[in-house]
Amino acid sequence: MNKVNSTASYFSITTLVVISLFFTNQIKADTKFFARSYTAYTLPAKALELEFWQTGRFDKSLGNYYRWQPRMEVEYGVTDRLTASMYLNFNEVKSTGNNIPSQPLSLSTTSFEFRYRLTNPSEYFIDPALYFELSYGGDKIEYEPKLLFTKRFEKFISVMNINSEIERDIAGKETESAFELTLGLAYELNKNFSIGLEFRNDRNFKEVYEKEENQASFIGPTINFRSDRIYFVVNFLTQVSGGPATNNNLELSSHEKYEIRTILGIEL
Amino acid sequence: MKYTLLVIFVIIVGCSASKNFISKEEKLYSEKCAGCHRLYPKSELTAQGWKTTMEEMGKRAKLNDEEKKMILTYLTE
Ligand code: HEC
Repeated sequence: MNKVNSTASYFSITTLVVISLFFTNQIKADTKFFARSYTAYTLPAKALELEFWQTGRFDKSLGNYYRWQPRMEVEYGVTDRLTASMYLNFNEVKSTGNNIPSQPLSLSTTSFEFRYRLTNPSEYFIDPALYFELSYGGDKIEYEPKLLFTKRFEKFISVMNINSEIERDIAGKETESAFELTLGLAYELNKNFSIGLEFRNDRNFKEVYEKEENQASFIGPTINFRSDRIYFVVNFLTQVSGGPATNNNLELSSHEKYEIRTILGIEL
Repeated sequence: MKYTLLVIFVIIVGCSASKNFISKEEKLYSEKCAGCHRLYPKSELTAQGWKTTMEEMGKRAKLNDEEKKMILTYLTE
C-alpha cells in the first residue's frame, strides 16, 4: 500500500467506526485515567471496548523529526479480573536533515495483551495487577511483562507501572531490552473530568539487560474526560533529563524531546 | 536495583496494611464499582439518588438483578 492510500484507509476506517458507534444507543464507557500508565483495574466481565490511540513524538536528533503511532484496539472482559485485548500498531516517520529514515504510515506490529487484577479494588492498601503483552510484526517479536499498582485516596488516584520489554530480531538474532517506570497522579474534579500529572523513565539495554545504552525521563500533564458513552485522555510529555546527554542534559538520539498521546475509548 | 527495592517496599507496605471488607455487599461494591471512578461514599447520595443511579450504573457494571439488589442494600442501609 502506498502512503496516501494507507493514511486514507486508516482515517476512513476510524471515522466510520466512530460515527457508527455514536448512532447506537448502547454505548457505555470504561475509564483510563492515564495515557502512560495502566490502573490495576479491569473491565467488568463480558464488557467489550474499542480504543483508538494516537502517539506523536517530536524532535529527535538533528533537523526535523516527527513520528506518529496510531493504534486500534479491542478489549474484552473475560472475567471481572481478566481483560484480554488485541491491537494493531501503525507507524509513520517524517524525518529530514538527519540520518533517521522516513517511513510511510503502515502496520508495524500486532499485539495480544492480558491484564489480571490480583485483588478487589481498595481491598488492600495498594491494588496490584499483572500485565503481559506479546507483539509481532516483520521479523520482530516482543514480550512485555508489567506490574501495575494503583492506590486511591478520596478523589485522588495514583498509579505506578513497572515495565519490562524484550525485543528479538528473529532474522538477525539480535536482542534488545528496555525498562520503563511510569508514575501518575490524578484528581477527580467532578463526575466527568479529572486532571493529573504523569512521569516516565525509559532505559534501553543491549541484549537482555546486559549493558545500558541510554535513558530519559519525561513529565507532563494529563486530562481525562468521561461520559456515559465514551472517555478521552490526553497527555503531553516533555523530556526533563536523559543520558548520555546530547543537548543540555537531554538524550535526543534515542528519545524524543516531546511526546503526546491521546486515547479515545468506546464501550460497546 | 533502585527499582527492585522500590517494588519490594511497595509490596511489603501493600500487604502489611491489608484491609478486609466488613460484608460481602461491601466487597461486591468495591469489586464492581471502582473500575471507572472512585467509590462514592454512601452519604454522597440520598436513598432515592442511589436507586436511580443503580439503574444506570448497574447496566454499566453488567450486574445481574441479585448483585444490583445487594449493592443497593449496602448503599442505602
Ligand atoms: C464502565 C464504567 C463504570 C462502572 C463499572 C461504574 N460506573 Fe458509575 N459512572 C461512570 C461514569 C462514566 C460516570 C459519569 C456520569 C455520566 O456522565 O454518565 C459515573 C458516575 C457515577 C456516579 C455519580 C453520579 C452523579 O450524578 O454524581 C455514581 C454515584 C456512580 N457512578 C456509582 C456507580 C456504582 C454504584 C457502580 C457499581 C454498580 C458504578 N458506578 C460502576 C462509569 C462507571
